[in-house]
Amino acid sequence: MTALPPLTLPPGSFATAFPFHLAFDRALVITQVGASLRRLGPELRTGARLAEILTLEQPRIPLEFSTIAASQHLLFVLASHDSRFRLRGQVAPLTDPDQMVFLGSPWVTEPAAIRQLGLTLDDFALHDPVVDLLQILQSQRATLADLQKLTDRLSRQKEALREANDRLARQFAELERIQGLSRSILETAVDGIITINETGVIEAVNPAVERLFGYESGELLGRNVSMLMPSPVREAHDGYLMRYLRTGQRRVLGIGREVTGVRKDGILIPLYLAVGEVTGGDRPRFTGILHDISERQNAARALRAAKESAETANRAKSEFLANMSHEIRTPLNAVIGMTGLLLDTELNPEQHDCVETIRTSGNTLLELINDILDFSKIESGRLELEQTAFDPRACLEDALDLVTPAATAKNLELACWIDESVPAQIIADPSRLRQILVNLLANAVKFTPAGEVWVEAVAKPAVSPQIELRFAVHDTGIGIAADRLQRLFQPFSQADSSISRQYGGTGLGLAISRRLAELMDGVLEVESKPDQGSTFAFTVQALLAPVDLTLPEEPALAALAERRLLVADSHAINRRILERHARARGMSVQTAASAAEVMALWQTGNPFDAALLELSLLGRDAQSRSNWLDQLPVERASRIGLMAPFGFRGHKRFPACVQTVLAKPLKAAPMDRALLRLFDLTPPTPAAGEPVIPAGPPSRRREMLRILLAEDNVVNQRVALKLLERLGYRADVASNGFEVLEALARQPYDLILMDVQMPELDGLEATRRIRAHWPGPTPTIIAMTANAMQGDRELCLAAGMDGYIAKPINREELRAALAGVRPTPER
Amino acid sequence: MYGMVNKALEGMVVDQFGEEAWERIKAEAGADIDVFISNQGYPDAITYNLVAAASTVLNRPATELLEAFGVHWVVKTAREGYGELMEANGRTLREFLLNLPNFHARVSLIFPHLQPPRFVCTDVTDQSLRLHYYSHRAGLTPLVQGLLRGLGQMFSTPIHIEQEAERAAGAEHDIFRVSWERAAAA
Repeated sequence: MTALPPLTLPPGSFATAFPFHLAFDRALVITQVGASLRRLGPELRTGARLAEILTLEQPRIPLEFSTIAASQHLLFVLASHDSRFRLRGQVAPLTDPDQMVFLGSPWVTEPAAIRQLGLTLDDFALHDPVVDLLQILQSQRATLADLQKLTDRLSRQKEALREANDRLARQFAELERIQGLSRSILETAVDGIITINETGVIEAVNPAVERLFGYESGELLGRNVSMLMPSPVREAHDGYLMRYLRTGQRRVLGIGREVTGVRKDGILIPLYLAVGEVTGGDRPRFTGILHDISERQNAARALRAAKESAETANRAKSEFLANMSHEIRTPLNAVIGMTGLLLDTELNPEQHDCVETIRTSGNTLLELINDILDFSKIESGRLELEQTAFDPRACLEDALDLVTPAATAKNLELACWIDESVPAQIIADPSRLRQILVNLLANAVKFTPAGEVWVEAVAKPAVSPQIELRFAVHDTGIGIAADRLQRLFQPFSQADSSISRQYGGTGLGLAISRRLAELMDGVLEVESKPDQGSTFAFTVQALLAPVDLTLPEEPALAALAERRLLVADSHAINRRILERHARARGMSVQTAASAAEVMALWQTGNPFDAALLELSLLGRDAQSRSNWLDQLPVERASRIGLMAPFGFRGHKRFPACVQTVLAKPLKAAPMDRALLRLFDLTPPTPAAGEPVIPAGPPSRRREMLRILLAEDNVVNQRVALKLLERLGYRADVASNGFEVLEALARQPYDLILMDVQMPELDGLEATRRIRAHWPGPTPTIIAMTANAMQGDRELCLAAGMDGYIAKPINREELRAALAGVRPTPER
Repeated sequence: MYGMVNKALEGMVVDQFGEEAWERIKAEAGADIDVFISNQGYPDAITYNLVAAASTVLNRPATELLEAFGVHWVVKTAREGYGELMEANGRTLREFLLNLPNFHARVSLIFPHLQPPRFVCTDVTDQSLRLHYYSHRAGLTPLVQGLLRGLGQMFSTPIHIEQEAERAAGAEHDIFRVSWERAAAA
């Protein structure tokens, strides 16, 4: 080693270069301390003993001058006894052999420690790197902290990523499941499913599409969908797509429609197409579902053909039926007409009976044919309803009249209860309403061996000005088992085939009635219990007549008010009807159901002004009835009325106390008249000397008048015939104008009662032809028309008719019209 | 610029405007960096972009933000450990300012890629000096002013700064006349 020339530092330089130096002598007594070290450890003063303040941590040698001197090559670490600071450095000999110096600086590992030791950077020599190392250390720590932060964040992100992955995995599994599902739907779908993009290019098709259009698998992908369409749609399709994308205007989207597709082999196929827009995805897409409707169209065509042929057949059938009916009716009318002529000749009683039977059977047959015709008309929808103003009560009472003889013959009690709610005038079809009522009443009478048949009518408001009328026909007849009720309304069917054998009938009546009720916006229903009876009820909608045509009430009726009346009848329904009717007249009413009850009431002194008693309550014969009446206290028995069954003729043999006899079934007007007569009040003008009990045998003169009734409706025919019969006339029947002409060709008639509206040849035209063919005053032709309009009369007279009566026919009007007709002189 | 600067900027924004604001600023600046590493060098553009984005997002002038950042750097960054040595850089504001040249000499040794600014003190008296600021970066003058104000707060010394020369106005470098009241605490 080359000896360097000795350097000598001036004291100031040494202190600046080594601010923490510490010099000591052989006795280890401090001889000099650097300025910064003095600031660090003020106890390190000149003269102080080194060992008393500092501990030698390194090297591990005895703290003696000689050992220290021998350790100049070792790193020295000195620590203050209170461990407040440590010094790091080395020892060096001085030129004075009895002294050595420690050169170093405080050992710090934290930047904050410098300040804590009360030092600043100025206390360190500029060459001393401690401070800079500290800075490096510090920056490494900051970096470590940053990295830790980064690691934490990465851990959190990794965790979040793992969760996201889990979620994705689950969603992916779900997606796969849905895809599998979709794929299996697509693969197995019978309908074609096709997806295109916004330029019309096919992106996906299912096998059904390829089958439908006859292409190989994969052949359609990537090609324009318009290839599956025939011209001109093929050329226009791209334009449709562009227009939709531009304007959003939907022509097909969301709306299913029938289209035509073209197969690979050029064959056109009818398709039902539904198109939807695919939501989501990178570009607009559309999915179409194609359903082959070839079979449906074929079926529809076949159905149409079948329907047409069925309609043709049905038309043929109807025509056949109409023709046949006409063909049957023509000879039948001749038979009936001839029996009329025959009856006018001298016949012995046996012959007379035979002819009557022929005539009755002929009439029955005619009704049957008319029923069948009616039904076929309804079935074919050719039945048109009239709209005429009429009194529904009169209509109901008319119907009742028609079944009264049959009911009386079976000794059935027939009654009718019309609720006050039923208006006096409605607008509907009176013929059809009466047809239903007659049918139901006739059935009730037919299937009731004993007891009662009664009909109720009520009305309730419907949508103004409409009202709903409800009629219910009750009977105490044989009833119908529950499982047979529905068959009742099927045409040509009766509840039991044995019934048709026992009771006869076509089984058309109920079917016609139900259809008629339905045509009048109503329903017909039945309730029944075997052996207890049935109720057939139906409703119809009617208009309230704009003008109430009810006749003003008879002024004499006012005198009935406050009078006390006893009503005795074994039938509850009759008691109710009379009681309600009398109460409506202001009377006070008591009722009794038996003769004993009447007697008991009479004898308890309960005062009555009058009594209306059921004839049969009083006894079986005239004598016993007379005896019974004689028992009554005279002063109270002065006003007695009897209620007699229809057709009762023994009224002349009643004691004088009997003021009046009221015929059953009970009806409003006769009831009023009977009440008035009971109290000697003036009854309304008796309907032309009205026989209290219906007319006796017709007079010879009346029968001499040959009458032809031209009327197409069966029930109207029956009503008119019945009216004529009561007035003492008999008539033949024609159902349309042609039949009238045929009848006239067969035999002469004095009078034709001519319905104006008839099928095939109406009354007006028939009249014109009659006048043309048989010029002269005969026959007299009187129009019967529901068209109660002002111009109708003129129309009828212009056609050649002689008179005019309105329908429904009023008995008095008919009587007056008939009175003016004389038999043809040449007869 | 070392990561510590961006980190300090982040600290200031999060302290004063919340985490969400910082995320918006980073997004606005296009700085897709989760954590700035103190010792790592980042392009200056990132810092400039962050300041510009902060100005947009927070709707404040960039100069105001830079000055606030300077204060924050001294007060907060020092307190949180980065600047322990800065505190050791002097017992008083005057000592500290006089030591600035040495401080930056040391810093450039430790951070070799740092291009630290250069400070020179002249006309030193007990209560004032003239601080010359040289930097190869432009536009950071408000930051220096903030740093000086932060030092005044750190040493609890009311400080007055007057800019005597301005590089942005064409001067060769920025010159601040810094004066203070006698130190409140030694």
